[in-house]
Amino acid sequence: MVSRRNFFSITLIMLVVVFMFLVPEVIKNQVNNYGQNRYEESTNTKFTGKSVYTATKTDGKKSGRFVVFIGDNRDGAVGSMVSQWCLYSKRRLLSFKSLRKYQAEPKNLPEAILIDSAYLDFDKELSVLATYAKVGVNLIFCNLPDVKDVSRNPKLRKLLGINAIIDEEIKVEGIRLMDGFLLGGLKEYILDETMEKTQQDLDLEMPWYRISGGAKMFMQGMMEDEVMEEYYMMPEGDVITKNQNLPAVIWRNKYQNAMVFAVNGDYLSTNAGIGILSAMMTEIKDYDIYPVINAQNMVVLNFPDLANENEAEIMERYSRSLPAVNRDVVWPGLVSVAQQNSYKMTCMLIPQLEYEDELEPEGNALVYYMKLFQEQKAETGLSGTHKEDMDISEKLDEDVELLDGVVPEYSLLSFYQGNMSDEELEEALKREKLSKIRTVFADYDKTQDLVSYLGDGIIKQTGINDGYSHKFSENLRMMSIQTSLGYSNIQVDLKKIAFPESDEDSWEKLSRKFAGNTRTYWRRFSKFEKTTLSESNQHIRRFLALDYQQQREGNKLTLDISNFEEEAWFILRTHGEGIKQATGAEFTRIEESAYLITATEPKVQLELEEEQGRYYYFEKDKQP
Amino acid sequence: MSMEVLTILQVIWSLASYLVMTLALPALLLYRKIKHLRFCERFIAYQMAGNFYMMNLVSVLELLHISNRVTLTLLTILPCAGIYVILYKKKPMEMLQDLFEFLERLAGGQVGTRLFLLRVRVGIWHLLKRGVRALFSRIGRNFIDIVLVTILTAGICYIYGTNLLQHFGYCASDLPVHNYWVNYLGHNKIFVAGIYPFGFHCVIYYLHEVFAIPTYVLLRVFCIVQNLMFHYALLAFARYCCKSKFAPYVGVYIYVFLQVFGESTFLRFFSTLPQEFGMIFILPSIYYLFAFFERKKESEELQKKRQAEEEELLPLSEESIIRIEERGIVKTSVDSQVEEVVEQAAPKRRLFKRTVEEQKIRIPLKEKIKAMTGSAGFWYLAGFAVSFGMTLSAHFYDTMIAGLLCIGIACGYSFRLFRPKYLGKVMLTGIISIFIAILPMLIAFAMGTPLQGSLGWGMKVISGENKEDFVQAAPVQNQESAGDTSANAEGSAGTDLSEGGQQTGGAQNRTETMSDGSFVVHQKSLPEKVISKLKTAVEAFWNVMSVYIILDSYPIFQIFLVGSMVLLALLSLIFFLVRQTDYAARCLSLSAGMVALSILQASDKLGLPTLMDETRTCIFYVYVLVATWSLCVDGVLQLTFGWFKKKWILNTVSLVALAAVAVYGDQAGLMRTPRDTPALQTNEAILCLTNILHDNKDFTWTICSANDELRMGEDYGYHHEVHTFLRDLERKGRTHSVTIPTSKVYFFIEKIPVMYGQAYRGGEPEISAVFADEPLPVGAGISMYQGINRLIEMSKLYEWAQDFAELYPNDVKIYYESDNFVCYCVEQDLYRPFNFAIEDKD
Repeated sequence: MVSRRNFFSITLIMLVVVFMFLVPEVIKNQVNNYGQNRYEESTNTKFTGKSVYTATKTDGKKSGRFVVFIGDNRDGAVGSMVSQWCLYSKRRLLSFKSLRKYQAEPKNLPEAILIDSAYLDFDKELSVLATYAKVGVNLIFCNLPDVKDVSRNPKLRKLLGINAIIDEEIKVEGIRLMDGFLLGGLKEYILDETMEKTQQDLDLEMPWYRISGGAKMFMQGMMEDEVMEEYYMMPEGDVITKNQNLPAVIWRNKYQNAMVFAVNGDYLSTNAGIGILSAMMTEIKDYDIYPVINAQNMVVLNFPDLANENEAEIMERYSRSLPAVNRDVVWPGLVSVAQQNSYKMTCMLIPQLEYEDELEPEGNALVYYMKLFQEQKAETGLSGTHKEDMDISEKLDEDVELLDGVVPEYSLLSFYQGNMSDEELEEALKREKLSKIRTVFADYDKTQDLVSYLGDGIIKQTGINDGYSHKFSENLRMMSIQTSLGYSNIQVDLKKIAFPESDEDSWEKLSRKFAGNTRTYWRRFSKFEKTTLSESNQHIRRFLALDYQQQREGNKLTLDISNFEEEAWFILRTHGEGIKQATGAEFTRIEESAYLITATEPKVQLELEEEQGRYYYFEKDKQP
Repeated sequence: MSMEVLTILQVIWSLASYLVMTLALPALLLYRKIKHLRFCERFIAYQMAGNFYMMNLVSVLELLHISNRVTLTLLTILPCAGIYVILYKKKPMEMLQDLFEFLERLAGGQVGTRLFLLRVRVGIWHLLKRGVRALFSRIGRNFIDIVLVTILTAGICYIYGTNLLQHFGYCASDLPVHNYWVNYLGHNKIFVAGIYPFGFHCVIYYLHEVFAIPTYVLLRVFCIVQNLMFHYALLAFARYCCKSKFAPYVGVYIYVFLQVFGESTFLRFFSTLPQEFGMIFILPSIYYLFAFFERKKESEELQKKRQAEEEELLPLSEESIIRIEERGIVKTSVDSQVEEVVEQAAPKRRLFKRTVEEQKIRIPLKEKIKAMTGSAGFWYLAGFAVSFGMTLSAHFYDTMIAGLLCIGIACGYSFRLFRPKYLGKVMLTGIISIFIAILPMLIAFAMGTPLQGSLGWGMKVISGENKEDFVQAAPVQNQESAGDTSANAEGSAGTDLSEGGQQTGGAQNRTETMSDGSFVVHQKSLPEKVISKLKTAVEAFWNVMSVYIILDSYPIFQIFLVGSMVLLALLSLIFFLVRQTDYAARCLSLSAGMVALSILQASDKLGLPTLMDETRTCIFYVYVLVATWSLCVDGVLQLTFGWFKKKWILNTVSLVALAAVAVYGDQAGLMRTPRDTPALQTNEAILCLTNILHDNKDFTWTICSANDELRMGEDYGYHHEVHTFLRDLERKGRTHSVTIPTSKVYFFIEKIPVMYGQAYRGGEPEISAVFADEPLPVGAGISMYQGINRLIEMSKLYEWAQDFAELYPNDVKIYYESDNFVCYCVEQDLYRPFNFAIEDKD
């Protein structure tokens, strides 16, 4: 028998426990302002498409940031990449389809001449290039002519620092990216036993150039000892000789008074080449400071799907309905990855994919997710993904109707283009509910700009990496873009969960890849800011609008930023120097000799010092 | 941190480490056993014990190839603990048990934390109180001594230490070799370059391993430690010999503070060299012989006195002793009843009231050892064996000097030495000491290790096989000496003596030309011959002395030098007469020792085999000379004031004498100032090396420099010779890559090359493109870095570095630059190290 006294105590305790659990939940629900987009503030910027800074001749002369490109700057390959890089690095670009057309002004020589080999007449124009090298104009061969042309042209070989051509075509085992070139350090793109063969997607076939003693290698082919011994008579176990003679991929030679860079492959023919060009400019100079976007996004595409779609297959795979899978399996997994890596998610909502069936999305489910997103500081956007046979305007009408019904005051700021055409997109954005869209997110296209204005008020951002896949070329792309822009977009498409195409599309397998890739490859870039698409939109607007002048006197580096709005971000890359203190800015060390500077005022002063200063000194010197 | 502060800290740490091993630890173990001895004697005992242990521990472990920090530390701590337990009859198990019991009680709460802390506090407080009280009591009793020793220490640090703060590199060219040998002790490779006395190296290695002081640091700064120690040994020896309290300081103060002696006599003190380290043991070995003769005599006299007393007592009665023979062993016992009867009947008390149960006629070994070690002379002879042996372990020259001084002792103590009970023991001890010292070398030799080059040369010199070579090897010295003595070359004894052997007595006659052109040959009488020879010998010595020991600028001290030998001889005669036999014998021994040293100093001029060149002999000569001066002062004071019963009168007068010397030195402008002894390395090179060691992980860097850094950084990184590098660039570089596979490569370039043994012609040389165009010097060894060759090498390296920096502007950094030095640092990716063989700009 329970005494009255005990009965009373037990009841009281149970009430207290219930109260304790219920109250926070009630408060959380009350406080959770899920009906409002918390990133609406990020729209507060004066910059529009008209504010984009393009360097003029005067600017180029003043700042010294001026390059000449020999090739077609609208070719969708090397030329487009060079144009894009010049826009981002605030450089003036002069483009000519022939070197002869360029008449250099002696008092306004470019930093470098970038050459698309297809547009160079090697028989006639090499001497002109040599003349430019003599006066100190650096040369960047964005690609190389055919190996036979190189072989029969000793002047070109001397200019490029090619000591010998060991083989006209060799297949290397992998590619090694040297430490200190791109941000992220040393990388070896070579398969090991744990990797799938599809991981290796770099071009491994190349001419085997052996570079001369005075040249410096940034990327080289990797080969097995046996092959080296066969080709190069390498003594057994002589690692140094081996490394000295490995096929050169990216290198630079010192010719006369200039640095001559060469790229043996098509690494500069996509927009992923912009980081390589930035790294080359750093190599040319004592130090380099350039603006960056400073944004790391994680975009969850087509999530959540609110309707109970593809029920049979989902039930078979997960023994529960799609909303339950999304709620109980997928969402915890996403949150876990985001939290572990401190990412902010941008979730591109897709109420349903099948509009023709009778299964409609549940409004309550939307509220549930909106609350969760609010708690996780995630941003909600709308996905334009639709079935090919469906009219996109109908889909958007239904989606908008749902949103208006459930979260009428929520401002949609981001939109995922999905499989919509550009025309469909333009049309779609005219709707009232989508009128506030400021960011359009699109899949990666190697020929398109990574970030650009769509019209005057919308920024287009492209996904740079797929969360489920991280092939070698994708890693190189990511490192290159991080080096140049401090920018990354990881996209995770969850349409595969609702409509799987193979066994590989199950969440447990996809999430393993997603979590592993994110944790492994982005770790070295953790110093960049984690943003949602709306936040990165603001960063991009500021980035595209600004211009800057820098000047160094002794250890003092002064940065004058024009078109400055609250904050601007720069990367400072040096050769063994570090920042001692900064005025008008904050700084973070990304890695050795690389710093992220967050300018909080338009005028920034940095005091530099040796990263590894000497600990011991003479009393007479006083200064350590 | 500045290099100056770092150097001071390194000196302090080295000194502290050495004193822990040679003073603190021996004192902890031996103090209670030898506390009856004077402090100077105890100091010598501690020094000998500590050094002997370090040297032999390292030698044994090296021969067993198990020498490392762990074994060295363990075999220092465990035996010390064992000795402590045995000597002081401690019961370690009981102590441990008590400790554990206490800990149990503490853990169990029977002893509260507050009580425990209170006990700890009270214990520390009592310890401090006792320590401070004892310290002040000692300071009070020896105040003047402490002040004088402090002044002496400060003086030594000032005179010899200032240079350490001005020149951070090695000041002697043979230090890299010693560094190399010590480094290889770390690899358990003793005698890596052949058999050589390794005592010094063992001590340096021990300090390096156990106290974690880098070898190159020790070799840079340890000179100040060994200078202090051999000065202290000199003072302790003088203190033992003298009767007054402050007369010993006179000689030592002159030695340290007055600018009287030639530069050769102290030039080597600016470097950490084995010979100078061995000087610590020379005078202690002499002290032990003095003490042996003196104390043994005292103990004999005491024994005689006891025996005389015993004779008055009755021994055990023969009738009470029962002898039983069993299997060849005779057992004895006492018949107590008979003994009682005899005792009662005896008129006097018996001396030995023994109740012997069983006694073997053959005394057991343990008893023998006990009897032997219990005798007064044994420990002094052991001390002599240890110290004399250590002179040999450190350097042969130290043994030679100690041997010559022993000859002096043989003269001074001849009246005792040649008695069978002394002579046998002394000779045996000498042999044993040499045997102990050369045992590791013998073992290594038996295992097939050859003699080190200089050792073989030394042996040949001693045996006379290498006489011609040696003479040729020192032409400059001979020429200098010839020049100095050219004034009295004709008819000089030097000529006579050197040619005497060949002329078969012809030179001993004087030839006179008569007016008619005939020659008259005067036959010299025997006294004339003796006087002539003596005169020649004195002149020869005087010439040498005025060149190497005391220059002609200080005639009064030259007179003191010669006079002190005579004075000591006279004083010894007087003290013999007044029955102060031991004091007299000490005076005579030192006087005779000085004569022997004088002969060695002038041996070249006297036509005798030159066992040691003059520049080295003079170092030892002055070292012993100042001890004789102290004894002279003491002898004179003893003669004049020693008769007073009040000892303080003599002490006061000796203090006045010391003050007079100090005042005289100051008034006469003789006070010494620190000498600037340039190093064979630039300061910047040491600064860079120190920083490189600090900044980088071991074996991730290479230094490309001329010579010295090779051994300095051997245990921490790699070294590439400048000459090899340049040769590779010229030859191998034409067809092959020249790489140095470490992530950082430092190039040390002297813009104004160091003068390494060879002077440059003209003014101060500076590297230039002109010298860089010269062909790379051809040759071997250190000659590559001497004179013009060094200039060419550095010029070439500088030109190459400029070209390379132009090619790789971001990868070549100036690590340090001054007016006369530049260090370039090349950072490279090990996946593709730079090919240093760059093509010419043209």
